[in-house]
Amino acid sequence: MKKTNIRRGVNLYAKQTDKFDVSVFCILLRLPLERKRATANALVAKALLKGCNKYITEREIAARLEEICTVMECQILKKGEEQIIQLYFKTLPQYTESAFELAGSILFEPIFNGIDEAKRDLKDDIDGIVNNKRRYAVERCIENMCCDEDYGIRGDGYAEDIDAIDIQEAYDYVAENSDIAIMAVSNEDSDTLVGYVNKYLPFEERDELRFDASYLKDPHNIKEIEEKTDVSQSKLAIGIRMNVDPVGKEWYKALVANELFGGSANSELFMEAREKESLCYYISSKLLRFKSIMIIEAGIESKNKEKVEEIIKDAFKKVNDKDIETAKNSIVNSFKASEDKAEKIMDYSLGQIILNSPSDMEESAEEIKKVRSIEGVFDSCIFDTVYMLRS
Amino acid sequence: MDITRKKLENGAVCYVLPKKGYNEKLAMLAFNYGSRDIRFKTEDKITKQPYGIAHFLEHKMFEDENIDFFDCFTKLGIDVNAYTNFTTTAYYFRGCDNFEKGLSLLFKMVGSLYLTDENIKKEKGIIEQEIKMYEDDPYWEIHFNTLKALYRENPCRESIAGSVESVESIVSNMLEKAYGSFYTADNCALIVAGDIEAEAVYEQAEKELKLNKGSGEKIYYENECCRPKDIKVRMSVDKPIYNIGFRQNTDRPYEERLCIGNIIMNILTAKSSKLRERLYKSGLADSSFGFENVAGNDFGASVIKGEGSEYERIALKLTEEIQHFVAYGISSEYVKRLADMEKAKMIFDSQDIYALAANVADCFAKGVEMLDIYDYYDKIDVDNILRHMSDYREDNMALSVIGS
Repeated sequence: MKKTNIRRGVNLYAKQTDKFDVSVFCILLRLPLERKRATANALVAKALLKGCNKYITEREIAARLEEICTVMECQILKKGEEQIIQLYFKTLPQYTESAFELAGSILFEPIFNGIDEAKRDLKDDIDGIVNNKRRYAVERCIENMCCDEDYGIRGDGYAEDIDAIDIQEAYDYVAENSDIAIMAVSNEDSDTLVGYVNKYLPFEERDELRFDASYLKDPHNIKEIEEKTDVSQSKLAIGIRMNVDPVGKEWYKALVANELFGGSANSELFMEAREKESLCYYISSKLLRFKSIMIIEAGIESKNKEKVEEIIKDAFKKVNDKDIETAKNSIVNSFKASEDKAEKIMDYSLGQIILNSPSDMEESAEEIKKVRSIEGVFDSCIFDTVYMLRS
Repeated sequence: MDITRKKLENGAVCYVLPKKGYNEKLAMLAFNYGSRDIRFKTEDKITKQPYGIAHFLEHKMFEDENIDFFDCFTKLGIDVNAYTNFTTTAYYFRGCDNFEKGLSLLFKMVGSLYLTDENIKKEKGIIEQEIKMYEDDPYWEIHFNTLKALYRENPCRESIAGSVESVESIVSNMLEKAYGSFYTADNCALIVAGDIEAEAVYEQAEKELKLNKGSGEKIYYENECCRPKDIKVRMSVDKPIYNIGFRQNTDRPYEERLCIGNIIMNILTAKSSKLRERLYKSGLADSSFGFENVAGNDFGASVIKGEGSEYERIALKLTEEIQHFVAYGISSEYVKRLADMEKAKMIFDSQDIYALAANVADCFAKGVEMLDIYDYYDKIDVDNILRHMSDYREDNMALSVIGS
């Protein structure tokens, strides 16, 4: 991605390519994740597509999108301790300028006639999280684990805050205080895109957001939490503090270690818990880089909880360098494969922007190749929270 | 969209989907055999098998007497996986290197079946947990309940993995029979996508893809006319989730039910729809209001989905709106706008090599070509839409609801 600084706090990241038959863009309004503003920011994301000066209702915006063969979504991303309003749009190359024009109207000339519906939609989203039990278990695990940190704040906000929000105030706050990143994966060059940004997205200069790299945590008693609901299979989610610097070289070692531990269908966890013991259909681990956290999740019978926990603890001890080349290869390949998807290119770049780390996917792949051993990488990790949603 | 197609000498069909500049390559072997094929004919005899057998067989293909295929693919730096739906079982891999070796391995994997009492028993435990995972997913459950509500006879009314009981009853000779009947060249499509030379793939497939000829004879079901029966079940959800399903008239061609069905569903539920706007503003529908078009060869449902407790009133408004359109017509400009958007969505989806290959596999199972579907959107005429709309009647409709 080629970076062009347009104004202070307003940057364009563009990848020019003719690999794809479509053009993909997103406009990211980056804000710190704060309890007092989380719901208001989330509401702005819901309200933007409800109407603008030129297309005054959600229906008129949708009809315009059909005319220019464009899909557009506005949603909240929670990335580390940032809450980001993302206006994402994808179109056929011949409609790129029309799509920018519409995005400009939506961001700069919103009308909030549909605010009651936006409030209803946000409440539905917040309440609806219980319907996806797997995701719910992971969210609850993180919420409990990080209850003293901003990362424990919900990206969609809180139902009880919705009624009192003044949307104009909320919008003005976002418009003035967000750090702006505009991303493009298309056949257009940066100059053309800068032209569209200046014409349709006249963001004023603003302060840049800085990443807070504090990740070290001291050991404490493991938080054991069980919640009951009506499920036929219990959902286990375990949060582990990696205590590995997310912007240091050690991080690449952690990525390789995670791949071997629970990141693939050949991993220690999968082989032991599923293939050998037949205890579950899914079990996996993933790393949340911005917070240096590992989350392990599995769907199990409640009576097998201790057995699965034992397997997990053993896996930390057993995992070794035997298959390290395969694991490295697999990660390098997934970096390469990500370059075939516009959304993944953008997502990776966003991660680099937040971490203020300049290495792109190719450089990260080179770092992975250099990892010689995973020894010691789990030495400083701490079991933090064991959460289970059970019947 | 660029697709080339060639029939191999053994009878299998090979599709090449070129993606210049892509790093990753994908190959898929799709068999025209899915969860619906629990009854079939071989040598004039009908075999009846337990629900979930196609999916069970899919799980078992990854093992051989002395080879763990997962492990072999992983060592090549390739991801391998598989899926089963109503009509297809597909095995695929994707990776940036070792494509030819991967292809050989894929051919080898589907070329034989290895079963032992022990590995069947182990798989039952895993599949039981998979079924239970789906049982906790209200959106999955409601989807199958909708088809169950609309159909009495057609096997689409049973979920793909079967039930814990039906899976328990599966034994090795059933799996062998299914494998022998359907894992054949005449039932198979090889689909490859990526920056790949078509000729090299054809050559390798001619040499290495060893499958038997022939096929079990599939049993198709007549268009069902019985009165649908609503299904309401309890699960823990924040508010009721509903599907309003209209059973499609399977005497109409598949591509019409797919493309025209999508246009009709957009007219009723897209954010640009006037009906949706009215339902939403009045508080009857919520932001999750949308649709899904489940079209198969001998079954099909146009499903309107949403959350909230006003599903009965919404169902009434839907049928009223349809009658209104049937009486007063629809503008051809509106139809063209929606058709162009559907075509654009097909292009969007085809940027992803997996989504593209899975779409081609689905078309193969339905006996159509993807490019014909794409072109069909230009041929849709308003009168035909109105004819299809006349199928969307109350006596063809069922509610599937999940509430707590």
